Amino acid sequence: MKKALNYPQLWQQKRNELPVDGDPNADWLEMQAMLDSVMPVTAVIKKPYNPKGIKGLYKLLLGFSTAVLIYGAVQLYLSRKQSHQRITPQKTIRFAPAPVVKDSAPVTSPRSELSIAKPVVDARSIKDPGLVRRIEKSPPQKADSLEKQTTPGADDIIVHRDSVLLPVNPGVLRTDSAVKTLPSELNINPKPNTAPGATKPPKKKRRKFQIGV
Amino acid sequence: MKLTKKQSGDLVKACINNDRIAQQALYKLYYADMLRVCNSYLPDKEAAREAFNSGFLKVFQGMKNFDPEKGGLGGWIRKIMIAAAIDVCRKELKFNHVAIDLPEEDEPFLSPEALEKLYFEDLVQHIRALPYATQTVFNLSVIDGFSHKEIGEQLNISEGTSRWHLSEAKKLLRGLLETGNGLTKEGRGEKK
Repeated sequence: MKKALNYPQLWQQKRNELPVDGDPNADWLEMQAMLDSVMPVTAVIKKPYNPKGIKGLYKLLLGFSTAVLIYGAVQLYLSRKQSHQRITPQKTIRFAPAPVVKDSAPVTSPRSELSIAKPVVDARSIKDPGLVRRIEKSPPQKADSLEKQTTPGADDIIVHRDSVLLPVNPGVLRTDSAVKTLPSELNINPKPNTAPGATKPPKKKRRKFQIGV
Repeated sequence: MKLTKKQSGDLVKACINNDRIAQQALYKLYYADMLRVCNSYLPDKEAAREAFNSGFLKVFQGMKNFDPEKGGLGGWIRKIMIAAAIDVCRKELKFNHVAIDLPEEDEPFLSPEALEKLYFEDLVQHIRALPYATQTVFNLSVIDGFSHKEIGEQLNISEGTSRWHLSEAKKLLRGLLETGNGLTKEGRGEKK
């Protein structure tokens, strides 16, 4: 058995003595062409040398540039948004004060009413003639002087850009702020209400002065 | 020429991955041996080269099927080359189908000492003088060590037919060598 196994090997060794007339390089090109057509190389692409340090640097640069881009985009968006918010209140200031000015106009009307009003103290009721003369000599208080005293109008109200303008009730502005405050400022006593249902103000106690003889 | 198991394993893996460099290395490593195999089966050089290229293509395509446990890489490639060579000359193979089952000869065709003294080129010339089917069976049985069963499977013939062709080949070759046509190294004036 061992002899039988060795015998073919001996023949094969003898066969290897045969000379080979062929160019392996040239024949390989032919073989390669056959392989390319039958078994084409598809995904054997060698990556270039890329050490970890350079890879890390690339990643860092990529991350940094992405962060910068995002930050820039956010800043741009916010600046645009803020500029839009600044422009819109100015527009409201231009058009909104009109009703305020209109409402504040009647503030002057109580003054005219007051100028028409009769003086509380009549010269005829004063019995002292000297005092009457002094009153007559003193110049009368004109309505113009009253008008010089300014009341806050719509033009004088400082409106901040960022403030929100609320609708103003004209009645509130007229009665509360102007009419009620004016008599006290002018030191003019309004007429006592003599209506039957009205409550009378409490009477002041008169002090008695005793003049020594 | 002989590769270690690790070397052949790495080469096979690279060839399976269709690595051209590994395929080129394998091709050039077995180029001479496999071309000789093809030349021994096919007298025509162009036919032998055709068989050689188609055989190597089959090697690269079927590299996944190589099992190192069953045998070496060289033996596996040689079997594929022989099959490729037989495929090329199959049309010319005309067998004398016989029903007689001849007993297998235990004695070798030539003693190893006598074989050592002969030139293979001279032997090949005598072998090529045999009928084509007979010389193919002789090559398969004596030189490449195939059994009659394997030869029958390879050539699509019965084992008896294979045996008959082998005995016919030995008889004819003996006659050729006895007449003195086969020159030994000593006859050519060369020393061992």
